[in-house]
Order: sequence, then structure tokens, then C-alpha cells
Amino acid sequence: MRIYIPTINDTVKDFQALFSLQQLIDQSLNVEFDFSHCSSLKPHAIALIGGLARSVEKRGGTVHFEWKTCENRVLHHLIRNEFVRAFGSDIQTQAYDSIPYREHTLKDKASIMEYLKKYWLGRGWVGVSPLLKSKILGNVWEIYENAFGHSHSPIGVISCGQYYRSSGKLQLAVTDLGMGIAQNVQNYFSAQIARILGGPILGNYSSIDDEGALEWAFTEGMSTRQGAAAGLGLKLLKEFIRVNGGQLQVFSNHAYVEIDKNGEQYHRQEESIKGTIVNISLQCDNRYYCLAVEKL
Amino acid sequence: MRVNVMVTEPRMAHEAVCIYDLIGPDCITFEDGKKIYEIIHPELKQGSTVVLDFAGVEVLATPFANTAIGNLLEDMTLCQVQNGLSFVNLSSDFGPMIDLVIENASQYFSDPSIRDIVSQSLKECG
Repeated sequence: MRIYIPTINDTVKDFQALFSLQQLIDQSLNVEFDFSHCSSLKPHAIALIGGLARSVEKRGGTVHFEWKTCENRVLHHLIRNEFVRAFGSDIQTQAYDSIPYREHTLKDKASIMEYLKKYWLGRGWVGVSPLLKSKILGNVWEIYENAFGHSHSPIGVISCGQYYRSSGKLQLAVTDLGMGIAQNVQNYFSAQIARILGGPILGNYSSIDDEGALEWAFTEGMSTRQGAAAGLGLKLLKEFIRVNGGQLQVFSNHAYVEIDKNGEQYHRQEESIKGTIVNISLQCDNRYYCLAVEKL
Repeated sequence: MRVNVMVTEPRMAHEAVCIYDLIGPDCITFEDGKKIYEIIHPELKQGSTVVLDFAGVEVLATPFANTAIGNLLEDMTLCQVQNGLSFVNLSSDFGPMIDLVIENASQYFSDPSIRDIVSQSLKECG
């Protein structure tokens, strides 16, 4: 099947277009990616396309990227962020403003933290104190921990990002193709209800919709993990995004949340993603950010 | 409920559990938290005191802190943990995180209505 990749930016409509592609690719064993309809790709799109390609290979299928259909601008972008290299073309170049495409197949904290420190927050694009940086990294790690711990993603977790010099925006996308946050919460609720009732639940019982499940997962103190687990509260990251004027978007199953200075909005989406995309967008201004305790 | 992390003066090196030596600069995973829990839990249960030395730790995340410290509250009282466990070389913002971890864990393990979070949430969801 030939898949025409469209131009993908970061509006909700762009995400929906991306998730439509996932449904097509999930039905195919032989996929050719054609970029002739694409003039720009954001990091979340690149991460998801890479993940979908790997999932085809995992199913025993074949994938072919038609690089010659790429506009020069798109091709240079895919070379610089090492996406082209990940899919077999041995082209080496400097990263410039890219946060390279990486497939984390194992929960290797050392390599993931090195990646985040070196390529994302370690390049001076956002002025943060060492202490604030460590707190942000701790929160972002929770996203990886959640993806590895709960999603059962067949392709692991994929990261990719970009610094947009002209708009002063820094983006980082983290993607997995597991069951999705909402589905995981719903499974947990069903298991707990079955436990309370003393037996399995008959029929397709869903006690909470996808938006509610996503909101539950992002409430501090809520976790499907046993023991004293705090869940994906991401309190510090949310607060930093509010102060910085950035945005955090999370798409999972039929739900998505947008977190910014205006608050936290949970929505239902028509197209479903089997998995999760986390998209962190920060403003690179001239300000220096630190924790309140550091000002004392 | 409010609890306060006890930060003590550094003791003799051999008395402290050096987190950096055991885990490294990034204390972030459940697995690493479990390593620390398995070292300190038997000591605290026996009534010994344990000093956790955070020198060199750069990143502290809640999956680690919940497993290493929060889970102590499963079979120990808040008083036992507070009296037995102390911290040195804890950077200024890690203290509040550990406070919160202990507070959440104390509520989670001591209050059945909070422990059964799902039942509570189901009620809220109607």
C-alpha cells in the first residue's frame, strides 16, 4: 500500500490526519511512504511515522521510504534529525537545530536521560537553572516510565524534537504504540470492579470514558500501579509550561488534553490513536527560569 | 496533614546510605527505588536509624521516591519512618518532594477510603 504523507503541523486537525494514517498502516503488511503531498512535518508526526514503520516490520511486513518524493526542505529535515539514517540510508550530518529521532526499545534510563540532557534541555535554547532543569527532567522521565511500564508498546518509545529558531519554539515529542493511557485506566477500573464483585465482568463494560480516564491519569496521586505511586501528575512541568507560555498536548485513544497558560482542557477526538503521543512545546525567550526556592 | 523532612548534619560516612554510589546521578526509576527500599526497609524495621545521603544526585523523580521511601509506610507507622530515616545533602527542592511522597503514602496506606482510590473515583464519575 502506498501511503501519502500529508503536511502535518500541530493543530488538532493535523493530529487527526496522522491518526487516520495509523489506521491504514495497521491494515497493511507492505507499505511505501510517499512524501510528494508533504511540505512540512512536525516532530510528533516523524516519531509516529517511525513507530508505525517499525510496527509493520514487527508484523513481518516491509517498509519502503520514497526519499526521492521529498521536497528538499523536508528531506534535509529528515536527514538532520537522523530519521533517514534510522531507516537505512547511511547519511551523516550535523544535528543543527534537531533533537534527533531515537527509538528507545528498552527502559535504559542512562541513555534516555543523556538524550534529554544533551539534545533537549542542554543546548541553552531555554534558560533554566540546574535545579529547575533537574525537576523538569524528573517529570518528563515519568512520561517514559509510564510508557514503558503500562503501555506494552511493541516498538518501545520513540522521541524526536526540533528547535524552531524563527518562532522561538522548542518541541519534543514522545510516542508509544501501546494500549494507550485511557485504555490502561479502563482496564484497571474493570479489574478493580471485578475484584470488588468477586468475579469477571460480563460484556463490554466501560465505567469511564476516554476523556475521563485521561484526566484521571493526569491527576496527582492516581496511578494504576500498586503501592505508593503518584501517577502522572506532572505538577512541575505543567507549572513551568504555564509560566513559560508553552503547551503540553497528550493524545491517547479517543481523548486528548491540552495544557497551557489557560489551564487543562480534556476533549474527545473522532480519530483514535492506538498508543500515546506527548508533545511538549516550550517558548525559547530571553528569560531565565528558576524555582521559587532559588530566589531566597 | 503536613510532615516535614528531617535534614540532619552529615554523620560518619559508613553510617549513611550513599544514593549516588548505588544508583548514580539520576534517581528516577521504580527499579532503582526498590533497590534502596530493600536496603533501608529491614534496617528500619529492626529499629535502626538510616541516613540517606543524596550528595551527587541530580535528578529525583517520584517513581523512585515513591518506591524507595513511600512504600515504607506500607508496614511502618509515620512516626517510625520519621524517627528512623533522615537525609543529608538533600538539595533545597528535593525536600518538599519527599515530604509530599511521605504524606501521600501515609494517607494511601493508612486510610482505606483513600487506598481504594478506584471506588472513590467511580463514585465521582457517577
